[in-house]
Amino acid sequence: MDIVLSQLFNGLSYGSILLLVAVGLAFSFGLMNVINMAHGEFIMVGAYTAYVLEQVFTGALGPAGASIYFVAAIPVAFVIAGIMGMILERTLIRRLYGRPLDTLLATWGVSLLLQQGARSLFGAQNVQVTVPNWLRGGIDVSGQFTMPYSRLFILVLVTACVAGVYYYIGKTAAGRRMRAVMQNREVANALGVDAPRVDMLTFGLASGLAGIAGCALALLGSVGPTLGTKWIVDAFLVVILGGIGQLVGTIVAALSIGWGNVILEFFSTAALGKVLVFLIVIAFLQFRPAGIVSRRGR
Amino acid sequence: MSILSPIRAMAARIEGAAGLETHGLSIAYGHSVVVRDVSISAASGQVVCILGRNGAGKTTLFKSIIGVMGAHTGSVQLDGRDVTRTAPYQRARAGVGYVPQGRGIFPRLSVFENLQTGLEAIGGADTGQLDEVYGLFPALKEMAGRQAGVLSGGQQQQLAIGRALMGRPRLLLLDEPTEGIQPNIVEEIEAVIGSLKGTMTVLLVEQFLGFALANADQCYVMEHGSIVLSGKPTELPEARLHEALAI
Repeated sequence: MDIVLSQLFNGLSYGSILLLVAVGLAFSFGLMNVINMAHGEFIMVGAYTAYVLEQVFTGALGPAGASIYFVAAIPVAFVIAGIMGMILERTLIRRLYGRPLDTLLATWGVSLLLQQGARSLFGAQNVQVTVPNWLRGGIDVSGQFTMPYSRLFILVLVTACVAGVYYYIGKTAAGRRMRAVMQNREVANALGVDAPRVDMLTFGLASGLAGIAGCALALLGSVGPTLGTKWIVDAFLVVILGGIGQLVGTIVAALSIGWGNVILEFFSTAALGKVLVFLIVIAFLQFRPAGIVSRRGR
Repeated sequence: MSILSPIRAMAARIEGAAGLETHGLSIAYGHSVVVRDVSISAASGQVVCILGRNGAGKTTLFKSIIGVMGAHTGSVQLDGRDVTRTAPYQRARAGVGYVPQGRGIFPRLSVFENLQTGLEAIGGADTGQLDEVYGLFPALKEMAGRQAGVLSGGQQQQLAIGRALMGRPRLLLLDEPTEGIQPNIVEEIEAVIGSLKGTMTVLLVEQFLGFALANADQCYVMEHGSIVLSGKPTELPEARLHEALAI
């Protein structure tokens, strides 16, 4: 029983991290049709932001700083990654709309630049972020199964981010403008919506969410220039499986892949489990090319 | 109360119809010029009709007037002000409303949200337009919470017109507003368009020649991207008009 609970929790935890990484991509790739290969590097920026803030807080406040820096790191990472995303959209991506291969190559180049920038600033060696005291330990469900606070915190963080995204998209004027531009850019523009500004803000939001994902990942392991790279393929897979532009699908896909990975890895090996997940997703897309959630309308 | 009372109430709050002029306007897709040297004028409050066969360049001309297609040469002037290099959203905020061919509604926004988006041209402020549009098209009120994509073609067209009216336009461009719609809704839409006359400047592309000629103050006929005929409806030579439209 402990093993089942443990695997279920691990799957949920992995899926939630995948969701946090993918929810930003659901904006840039799913809504804007921009293949942003630098999305992973915005994750890396978020993780390094947590590291820098830890240094700043502990330098200024001593050991007490190590307990509270993370509270500040989340919004700061969102803002820094978001601003970087907006700069990238305004300077480069805006010129490449409608040219997906050019966008892919250009953003891949940007990702290499950002990785090298991180190496120059922080060194080639990975750095370690200290997990705050209040996120150490866990809930001991039974002798063999503990739910770590850090992973529970990430679950709460992901839930808050997804709820925030839903509120922003569904309930605010800015979200309505964003949906209008993504559904019919020409008409939205002709109705008075400043579409280029909406593009910039949407891309900034996507990048900011990647920054928050980076903060979360910093709790789970070391931070290095290629931190985001290993997540980017899985994140694209989540968005495609969920259905392009469908947030509900993205959530279902992230959790499905999370649980699928954990279950298949349990019965095979880590590498074989991943291959099996890929094969299942490819087979699924043969039957439902539009993904789990598809659009309907006249 | 007449069904058209709301439009009169709405018109009373519009600051004044806007005059439109294009001078030697040419529009190109890449290197291919599809609209050549078009000069038209719509005086404030007039209904001006653009006629022509499919592919004559009417929709392309409209797209250039609203700004989503740039001018290759020539200029677009709104109330005497050159807006040729102005972004579409800025033209909308200057008072240009647009009902695109094929309706162009946002299918996954609700009817209410579609109408709210029409307010963007005036900074999002609803000063009674929503009730006025619901008065004009009661079906939209009943369907307010539904996704616009599930509406019938006629209801979508009503939504597109209502959405444009939400922004209190001073110049309204209607691109084939009755195309592909069931006859009873066509009558309703035609009554609304007819009632706009004198309250705002209307530029209309319309396939029903009878309706166009009955309501227009001025007509332009396009062929192969150029204006080949223009004048008041009563002055247009019928034979030439029918030849240009291949009726």
